[in-house]
Amino acid sequence: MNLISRALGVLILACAGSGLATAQWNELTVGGKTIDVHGFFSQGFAVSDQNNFLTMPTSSGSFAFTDFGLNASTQLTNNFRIGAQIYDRNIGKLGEWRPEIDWAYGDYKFADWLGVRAGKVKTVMGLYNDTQDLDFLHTFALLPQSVYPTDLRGQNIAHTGADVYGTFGTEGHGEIAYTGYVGELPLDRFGGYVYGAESAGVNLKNGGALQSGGDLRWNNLLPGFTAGVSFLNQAYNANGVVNLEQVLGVPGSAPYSMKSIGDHRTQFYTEYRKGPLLLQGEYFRRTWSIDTIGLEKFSSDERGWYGAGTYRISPRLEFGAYHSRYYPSWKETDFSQPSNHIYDQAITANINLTSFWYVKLEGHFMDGYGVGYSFRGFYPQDNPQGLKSRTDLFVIRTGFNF
Amino acid sequence: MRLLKFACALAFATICAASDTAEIGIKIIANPSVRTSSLSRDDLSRIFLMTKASLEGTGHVEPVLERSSPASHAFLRAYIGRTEAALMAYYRSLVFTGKGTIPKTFASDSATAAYVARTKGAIGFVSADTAAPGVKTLQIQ
Repeated sequence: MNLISRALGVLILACAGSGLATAQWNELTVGGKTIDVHGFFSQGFAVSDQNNFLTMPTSSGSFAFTDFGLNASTQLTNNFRIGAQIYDRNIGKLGEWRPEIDWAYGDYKFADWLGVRAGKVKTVMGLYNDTQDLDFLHTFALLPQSVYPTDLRGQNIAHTGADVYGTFGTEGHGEIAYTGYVGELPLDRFGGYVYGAESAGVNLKNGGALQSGGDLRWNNLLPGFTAGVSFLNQAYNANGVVNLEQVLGVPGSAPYSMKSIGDHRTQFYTEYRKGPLLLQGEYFRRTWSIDTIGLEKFSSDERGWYGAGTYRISPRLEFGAYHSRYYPSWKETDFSQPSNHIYDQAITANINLTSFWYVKLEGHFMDGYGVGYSFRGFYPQDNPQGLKSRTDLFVIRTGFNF
Repeated sequence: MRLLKFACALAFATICAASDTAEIGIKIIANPSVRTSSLSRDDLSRIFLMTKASLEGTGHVEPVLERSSPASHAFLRAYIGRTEAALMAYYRSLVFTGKGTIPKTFASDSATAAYVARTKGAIGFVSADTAAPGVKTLQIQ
């Protein structure tokens, strides 16, 4: 699998290299139809002063921060489009170079107000859920982890099912866009959820979720101003083995299964854009309960939000900053405890060396580390000396796309 | 109340900033197959953001871009409200989620006009003084 991933990476590099020679090389014509081929690659380096972050040994500096993807798509008729993308990543112990089908679907548009997508479709939720892993689209090297945790990409990134979508013009006040979906999502066996469960003595083997939800947004309600809301309902289940020694202090292991009940997420977001200035804010709340067979019932009320601003001072240079807050359990009354929050202040400079090659320099100043089920960067097994309350992190990330 | 004042000021500033195509030195051109002589600002923006792919009486329409030119800077500022980099990021977000493609893009007014003239449903923009045979000029309301 490693070999396949590395071969794909080399292919992308080779494609990009040949792309320097001719502008239209990534358009192939087969049977009279144009097939567009695009790809991206990013490589990061992260170093922190105290805690290891995102499953990387960042306290000594880590280059284990790579991802890439390759897609092909074609417009079969004016109304019908098909395509697919492969995605792979290795971020610390996340991803582990296992390539996956990122999306693969057919899209039929009956009219501007009604279209249908069927297959594996990226989930529209908030401003960035469906593009969170496309680093070259964002000013920041790490999106606000309160709302878009890199560890939990696999929890919401895409579903295998169907979407209905469309837009309506509103006569002088922009447009209203909607998306509704239903589908299945397999357990991400190489994501933060499974990795984090290991620290609690649970080895998850398989599982998944049935998800349904929607997104409603008003683009250009006022010029440059967008507001929207997303909903997600899901029923999650997972099966595996629990290490009784670790959990109960008695030797042996036992089968483990869990399911989520009343698992709802609501996300509000807004954006204001004027020329080189972009201001954004998002807030989410997720309430859920977990029924574990053999262990106790557990419920939580997670909340998170961020405010971000970016300003492009030239075609080559953009600056940005955000403040992000995550609360693993809103029921807690003492948010001053580092286990009850993760706050992150980030500043970044995004340098476009060419139209397809960028470098980002980013500083994070974090306070708190959340609880065991936060799955947002801080894991006990990566920090055996114990988690410290503050973490300063510096990230360099470079990449290209074609 | 302060929020309302801010919203009103924002709307007023935006209306003042908006100019017609002649004032900003560009014209919106279309292939003769486009069966309208005018477009609303919203519809023009939606066509270029690819959320509107058809016009009544015309059927499928295709936006055509010009990059890194005075005409493109004026067009983006007046009608799209995004920098060229932000617009390209938007198009790439469509490409890399499977929802669309990057429009045909040209480096000069003459190339843009020639493509619009020969492509059914094409809508583009060029500098106001560009000679563009075989296309029609759309009024933006």
